[in-house]
Amino acid sequence: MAAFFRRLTEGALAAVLVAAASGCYSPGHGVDPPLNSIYFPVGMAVSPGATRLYVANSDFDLQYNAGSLQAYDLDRLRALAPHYCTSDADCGSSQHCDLAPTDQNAQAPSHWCVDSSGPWAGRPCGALGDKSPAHRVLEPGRCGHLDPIHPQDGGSPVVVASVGIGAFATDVLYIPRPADAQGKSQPGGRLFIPVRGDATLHYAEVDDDTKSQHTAFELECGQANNDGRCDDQHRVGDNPDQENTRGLRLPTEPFGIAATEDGQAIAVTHQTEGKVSLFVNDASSWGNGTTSFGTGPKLEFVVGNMPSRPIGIADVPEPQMVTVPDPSTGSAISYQPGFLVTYRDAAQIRLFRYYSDQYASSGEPNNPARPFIQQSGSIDVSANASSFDSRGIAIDASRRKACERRCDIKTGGGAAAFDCLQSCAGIPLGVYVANRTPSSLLVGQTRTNASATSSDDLPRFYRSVPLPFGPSRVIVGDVIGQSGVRERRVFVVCFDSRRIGIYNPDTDTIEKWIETGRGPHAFAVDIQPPAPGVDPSLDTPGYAYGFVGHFTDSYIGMIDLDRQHPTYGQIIMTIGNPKAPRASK
Amino acid sequence: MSVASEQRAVPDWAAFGLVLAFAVGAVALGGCSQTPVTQPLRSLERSGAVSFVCVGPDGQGRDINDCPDYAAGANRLLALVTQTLRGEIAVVDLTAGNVVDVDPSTPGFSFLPVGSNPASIVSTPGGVATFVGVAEAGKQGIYALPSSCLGPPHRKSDGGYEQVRDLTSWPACKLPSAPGSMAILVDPPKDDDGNPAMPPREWASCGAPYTDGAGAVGQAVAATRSECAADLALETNPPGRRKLAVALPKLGEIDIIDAQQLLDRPPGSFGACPVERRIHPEVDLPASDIKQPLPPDLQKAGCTQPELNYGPPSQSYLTRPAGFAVSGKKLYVADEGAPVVHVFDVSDPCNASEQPPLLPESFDSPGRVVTTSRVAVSPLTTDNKRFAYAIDEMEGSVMIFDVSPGSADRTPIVRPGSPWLPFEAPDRLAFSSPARDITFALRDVPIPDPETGVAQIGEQCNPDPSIPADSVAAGYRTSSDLTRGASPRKLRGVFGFVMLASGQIAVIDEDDFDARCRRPVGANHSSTPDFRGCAGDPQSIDSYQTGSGSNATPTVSDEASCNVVERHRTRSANFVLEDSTTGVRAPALRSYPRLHTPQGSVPPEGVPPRLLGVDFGPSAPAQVFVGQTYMTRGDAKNPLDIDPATAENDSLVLPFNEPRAYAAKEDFTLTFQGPIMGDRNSGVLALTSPDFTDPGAFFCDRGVEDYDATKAYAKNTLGMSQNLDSFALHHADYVQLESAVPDGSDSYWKTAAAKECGGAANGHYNCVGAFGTPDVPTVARDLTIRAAYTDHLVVEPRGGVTMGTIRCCLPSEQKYTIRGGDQWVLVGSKSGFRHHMTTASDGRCVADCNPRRALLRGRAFEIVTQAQADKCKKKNAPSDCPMLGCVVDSVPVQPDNACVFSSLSARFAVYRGDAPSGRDMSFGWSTTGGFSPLVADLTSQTSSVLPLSMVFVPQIGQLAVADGAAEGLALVSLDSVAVSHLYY
Repeated sequence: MAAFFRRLTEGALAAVLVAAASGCYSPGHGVDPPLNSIYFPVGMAVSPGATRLYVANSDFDLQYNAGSLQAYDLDRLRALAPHYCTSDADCGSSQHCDLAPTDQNAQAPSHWCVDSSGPWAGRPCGALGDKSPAHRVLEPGRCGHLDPIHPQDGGSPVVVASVGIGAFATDVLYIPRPADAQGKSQPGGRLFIPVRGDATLHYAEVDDDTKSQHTAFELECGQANNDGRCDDQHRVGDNPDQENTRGLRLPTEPFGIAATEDGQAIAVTHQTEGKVSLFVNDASSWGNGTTSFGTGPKLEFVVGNMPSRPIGIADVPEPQMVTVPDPSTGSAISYQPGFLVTYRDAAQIRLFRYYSDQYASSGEPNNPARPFIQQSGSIDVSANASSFDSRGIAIDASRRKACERRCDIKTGGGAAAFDCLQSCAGIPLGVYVANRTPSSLLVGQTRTNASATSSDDLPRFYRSVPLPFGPSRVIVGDVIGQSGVRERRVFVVCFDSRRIGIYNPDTDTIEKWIETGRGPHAFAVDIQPPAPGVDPSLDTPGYAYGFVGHFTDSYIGMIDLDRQHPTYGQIIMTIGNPKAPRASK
Repeated sequence: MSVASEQRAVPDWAAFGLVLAFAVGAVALGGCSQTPVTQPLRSLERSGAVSFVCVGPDGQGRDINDCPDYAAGANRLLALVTQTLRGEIAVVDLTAGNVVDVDPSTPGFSFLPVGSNPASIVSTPGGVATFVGVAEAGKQGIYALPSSCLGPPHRKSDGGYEQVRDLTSWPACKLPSAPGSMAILVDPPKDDDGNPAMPPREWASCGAPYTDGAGAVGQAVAATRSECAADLALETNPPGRRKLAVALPKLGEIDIIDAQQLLDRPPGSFGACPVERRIHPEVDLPASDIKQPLPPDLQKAGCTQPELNYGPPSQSYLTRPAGFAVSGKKLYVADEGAPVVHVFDVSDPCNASEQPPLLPESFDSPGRVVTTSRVAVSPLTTDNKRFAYAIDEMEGSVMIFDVSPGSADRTPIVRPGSPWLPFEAPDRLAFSSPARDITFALRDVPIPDPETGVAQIGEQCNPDPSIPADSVAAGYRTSSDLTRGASPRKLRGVFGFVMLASGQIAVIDEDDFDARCRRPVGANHSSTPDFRGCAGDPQSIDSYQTGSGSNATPTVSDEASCNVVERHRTRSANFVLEDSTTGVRAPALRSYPRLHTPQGSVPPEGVPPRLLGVDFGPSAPAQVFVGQTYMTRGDAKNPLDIDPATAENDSLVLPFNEPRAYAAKEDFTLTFQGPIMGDRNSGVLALTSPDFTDPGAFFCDRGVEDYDATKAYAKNTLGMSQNLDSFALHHADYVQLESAVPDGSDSYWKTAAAKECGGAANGHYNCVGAFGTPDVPTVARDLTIRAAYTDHLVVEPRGGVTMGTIRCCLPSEQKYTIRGGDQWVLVGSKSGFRHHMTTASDGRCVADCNPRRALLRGRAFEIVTQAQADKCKKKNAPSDCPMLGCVVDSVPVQPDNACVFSSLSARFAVYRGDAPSGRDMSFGWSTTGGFSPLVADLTSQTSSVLPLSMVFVPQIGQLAVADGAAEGLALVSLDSVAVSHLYY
């Protein structure tokens, strides 16, 4: 016992010293992580073309010397997932619809397509096999776990790439590459991962599966010459001499991340320092996407003087009217992109605006542009008894964007289009916050006012929806509605109580509680993207799934998000073998 | 990129990995649960709505008015509470005072299972059954719960037990979409045969032949069941067939369902609901403009308010029926999809007819489409008024409609008195937190007539000194020791209750039977309100007291204001008066104001500037509470000296017109050239124009007054005709730049842009010399605002440097503030800087002529005597002479002088001292005794409160609140206006 405590003390001391001195990530020492395993997943992102699911693993208990970033083949995952059916006609030629009680389905018809012959004939879970009732308590879902490297169907792995990253990643964000100055499309996009271990922002070049040109790699962050880990070039924020003119280094504990719609400005919260950092990822940071990859993002500014423990951050979608000239003046309305930030220690939402410093640089090449981010406003949250301890935040611009699409279609440009866009700008944005005092989903919206863009972008919360304990993240996404069309929903992840609520903004109700395994945290929606030119509000997607990363037991759950199915809001497949934290073993 | 990171060595990762998980755990995953959450064990979880039934000892329903059963104690009042997370109905026995466990064989508390997401619940008035609307995805419907099965399974005559309560226990039916609100309507019997001997007749369903209602007892299918029987024919108060009105928001309809037919469904079945009538509410908006009638104090000639007239939006709406309120034969339905509150005549529920709707509007935002989530209707008041409250869904405020018999106006009432309460929209009750539910209560604590022994409800307190002191109406008066009679917490009358999301329940005065006795003793016969807000008192009453001199006895509470109790306003929690027992409860100064200089408390040389109170009028001398002493000009005992030549103390006076204008406690600072706003960090000086831009600043909303606005004020308000330009240049607001000059080692100095101010060699040195530091700034940092727009300012240097030098020395983003020019700026710790500026259509900041904002003032101009002004004509005139705008012949200044500062909560004059006042010289004072609203606080036990619904239970005289967080079901007593019981 004494040895144990001595080891404990030494280990804790070392941990604190390392954390205090220079962060925790040290490639080259300790045990290499199994890059293909899921290990304390914290972030997920779906590629714009919905062919890849990116997962950031945090190595939370530091069993290994790094975390990992993985790319999963979504087409394979969807093919392996059970398929709902109402008759045999819905299934392939070698399958039939499991509608009647049989010994093979344990007298519980699944309404899934099952093999008609072979070793898995009539078995709803096929090669995955059924979970025992005991396992289903901790790991909901009928079927056994999918091995991501050696799938039970004998096919190719579902993990198609992985690289090592620093320990204690917190999230992952995909940013598509903007068109160049001539409006020409360029290949590729980028993933950004805040890493607490070494207080950096990692980034990796990836493909953009919506473009005609494709990159030749899955994940590229210099790992080829760095033992499979992202190299220093792809860890930014720690080089004040090279990255900015202000001598800035990224503060400790980067946590939340968000980017402007054009991907030029990336803001990161710092959960223990009361700061928000700005990275600029503008056109100069990208190469050509095939032979060069540019300088990468740069840390440009750190803003403080705010309540401690900022957590959630979301970018405020820009009204389209600011991107076109006002016919009356000939120039676009002055507008600075913004971010909304939540706090654990303050019942507030604060608005930060990104300034490209164009006033200092435009027309005066001698004047150095010094991009910065500043607090622009704040709003007290009063929709709860105390309203402290806000976590995730999400913003829904779907109504405004639908209006703006109609402007393009109906007006054909010019002054009429601007007027139309101006009226659309007055449509409020939906704002959703996970709050813990008490556990609730705060529902609010921005307000129309007399500003140039019709809103000051600060939300007002008018509703508080009760939640079970431990809400942490909020994600806005779409599901397939009962009529088969795309419908907007808000997903609120409740870490402590193992549930994800599906909130319907139209009916103001939690229409479904998803029962998950232990520690649901990361969440991403995988719904078939609309075909080019199709109005999303009229789109009838072919599939809709959610992916939840179980932080505690290190696996991923795949959720049916098609309301036409009786399995709507249920985990239908699990990926990876659950592993309880070592402390709980 | 980082070489340093390569050198970070961490020994033996695996060894302390587990430890680190704990060591760093405190800062781990901000979005996850890193701190163990201790949750108390509670039986109720995520309560959503509540309904009440009365049951007899036999377990059968009883008329709700038979509970509480004070006589025999046999009947029990049960609260049925939806458990939204578990899909259950909790049963709380209010008579026994406990939560009922319906399955004692299972550990923990078991409740009555219904479908997921129970959204609404209603019970029949006779207590026979309760209906629960559930919104479970794909299984939306209604469950019918007979009262005979609300408890644990009974033992049957054969010795066995009834089945365990589960989903198959209840008749249920499926709806095409999720149900919203529900209400029980009564289809009255028909008694048209002219034969008194024959009982009234009912029809079994809409359109069916009429039959003998009494004969229906025991005939229904559900009435004959051996378990969970339910016979609505037994309910006779009120007589008639029970109909269930169910809102289907998504479909925009209200379905009428016969309650007994639903109960007759086989338990466990889930067929389609037997809908008898489908009502499709219409959005019947007027074709012409809708105009809210304005009270006189919001009408001002020459000031056209754009919000006065506005027509209905042209778009079409999809109605989404929300909250219900039944009042007599009318059903009011809030609408979350359209700007109407529907009104139905439901005297015949089978043929409900829609009447012209109420029209929710927003006085402050006339273009906004106002939808509503909840509605409530008051009982009739003593003046035969009836009011409807409706919650503005998106704003969380509460609109009040006059739905009295004969009322023609269908828009929200615009209340008088808004100039004294400019921060609350004139047409709605606004709170610090969104309103979640509303209800009304009529209650009384009647005094029996000494002659007849009859206690009559609704008797009003009468303060007329001439009526007999032993009359009932006089008996309601406040006693001299304030312990009896009319008082803030004595709720006699009709009151509104607004439940806030923050866990408070605010009390609204609608018809306080004691209102006439809550006022000052002094009478004002004039129709013009005095500084206490009193007006129009009868000529026959000189003062509200009996006797005289030392024998005088007030017939009223002798509070400081006549507006202590106001219809449609929040109720005060305290007497508004100063009393040795109650303490300071009227607006008062904690002490006299004190002058501070930037150097501390060192007074300036010579006579300093003076801050002094001003008379309220020719016959109303200056008077104010200082601590608990009432100081009055001319009073022999406690004089208030307001003459700058003789006054020992600085002072000001506090008007009592509107007690609600005062925060409970507040600190004020009156600063010369004081900041009108806090620091901002995002100002940018344009390179090629004199524009100072900060799009997020909203300069007009912050009250910025530029050169033109200042000039117009001098001309129109102060009556100046000379030196206007000079006055405006000195008094217009200015920007003070607060950023530091870049450090000498900053790479900026190496750029070409820095060459203009010295470059790498001398730039930093030169610039610090010219602009100083943020702590010791020079005047070079000040920029006069020539024109102010909501997102930018047009500026010019105030201190003799060029714009180019400023841009060079202070590049990039600017920290800055805006200060008033040569004037005194008043800022309250809670009220902030008050102003009356607004944004014109071109974005320019202009003065708002709206009378509602007339008393919003935050700037005071110094007053000088003619003798002081004459010095300006001499050769060595003081440098601030161009500033002079308020010259008076004599002091103290007259009450109606334009330079008197008169606002909602302060009235004073600032007299110039011998020397010009300096920047940041300030007077400071504190007020106390401000308004405290009467609220019932649900958070007294825990802050984990999320109230979702509230009903008034007249049988027990309490409010019942279903809490979505920790409190389960809370009962609020209206005797104490506090939580009386918590069931969780």
